[in-house]
Amino acid sequence: MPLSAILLTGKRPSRPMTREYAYPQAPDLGPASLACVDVFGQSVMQRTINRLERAGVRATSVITTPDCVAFSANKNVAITITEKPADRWCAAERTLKKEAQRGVDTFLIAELGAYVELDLQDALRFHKAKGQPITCIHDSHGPLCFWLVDAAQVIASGKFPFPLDEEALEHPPIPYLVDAHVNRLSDAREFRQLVVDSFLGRCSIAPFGREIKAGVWIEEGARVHKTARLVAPVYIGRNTQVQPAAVITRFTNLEHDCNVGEGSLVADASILSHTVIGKGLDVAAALVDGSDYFHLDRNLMLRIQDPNWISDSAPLQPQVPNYLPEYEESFRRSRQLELEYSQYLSRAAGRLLEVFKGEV
Amino acid sequence: MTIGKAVIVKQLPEHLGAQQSQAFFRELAPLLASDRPRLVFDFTAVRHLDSAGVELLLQCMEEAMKRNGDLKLAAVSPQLAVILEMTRVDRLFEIFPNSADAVESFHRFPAQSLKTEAASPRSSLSSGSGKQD
Repeated sequence: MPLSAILLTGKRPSRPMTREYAYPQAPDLGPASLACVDVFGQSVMQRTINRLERAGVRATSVITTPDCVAFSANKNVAITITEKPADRWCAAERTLKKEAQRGVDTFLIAELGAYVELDLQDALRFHKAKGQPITCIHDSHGPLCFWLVDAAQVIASGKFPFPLDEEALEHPPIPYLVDAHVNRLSDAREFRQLVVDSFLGRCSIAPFGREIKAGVWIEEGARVHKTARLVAPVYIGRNTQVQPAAVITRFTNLEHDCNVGEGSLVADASILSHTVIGKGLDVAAALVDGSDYFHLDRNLMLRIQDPNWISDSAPLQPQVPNYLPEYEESFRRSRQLELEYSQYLSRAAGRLLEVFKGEV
Repeated sequence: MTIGKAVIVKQLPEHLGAQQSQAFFRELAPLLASDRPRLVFDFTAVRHLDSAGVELLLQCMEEAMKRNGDLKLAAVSPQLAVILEMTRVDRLFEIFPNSADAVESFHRFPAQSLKTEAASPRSSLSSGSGKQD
């Protein structure tokens, strides 16, 4: 039975993470999604794509916004970039029709979102047994924005009913209930919960890198000073540095390219990529993304503007998604131009210096 | 500035950065130079605090301690409380929900004061929500 997946996602949140900030109003870029944020070196988005591939999904179409860089493309993943959030569902409809013409009869459509360890084969059996055009996937708390769709029935009905409002339907479809691990990732607390669950082996997410001792994972390129202490369970992402006398402990994950300053304590915290923690700080029960500091216990967010404390080391130039070669080319050309210009300025300055020295 | 029972309550400025801290410290210098200075810093107006501001707090604390005085903090917002915790400064100061309580604490007998402290003055920094720009 040919099966394809259509995944919709928004941008990586630039300032997550409370319930009110998890989906900020950004009409030009669409809703933000914590599924685009790395957990142990890989985003939930990428993990979902991998999981679907393993479950036998023939092709995956990702419909996203221009700044989503949460996954890497491969030959089985097609990317569609939409400018407006409303266009994502139109793009999904076009994809469904196109894939149906190629012989795909069933689709998994998901708006990420949630991390769901879905038993796809079991869900498909349920969907086929019920014979309904759409099967909604629920957990014990309700719908998960995952749907199994029978392409022939939906196309024959002449309408594409997504995003599906089950409550508005006269005869709502019988939902498939997931009894595996689910995390809705609707705010920073749930993101932290996913990290803790992963450390404890409650879900199938496992840290990448080398387990240097029980519960301590270190990725390639990470540097930990010999006087720093890593108290399990912790994860240190690639190219992250931990300075002398720092202590990292209690289910902390430092994602890639972070830096923890001398003598700082990071406990029960998620430090997202390109975050610099200064010297002598206590970062506890927090999620830190660049200069945004979300305190989980107090449920409040600060933007810290003092680089002595916390700062963002992300390159100013936007990261180029690797599935957009034309963008990459234009960025490469602009970087080349900048380099040539700076070399020209440098030569000119040197010449001027010589002239002035000659005059003196 | 209000003076009550020889305890001086100072309202801190809205921005407590490098420039403001220097000016504030100059303004405060005569008070800190007095014998046994008893000060309360009221954070009601403070919206922005950076490392220079924290440095100012420590400097004032040091000066007050040198002269056998004390410095207490009042009306610290939850956002600023997070910063004080993060910089490990919260454990150096007694923090009160408002300046009246802070002033009052200077007039308690030490034993009574200790008892109140045991009841955790910092618990007054209740959680809330919001952001600081």
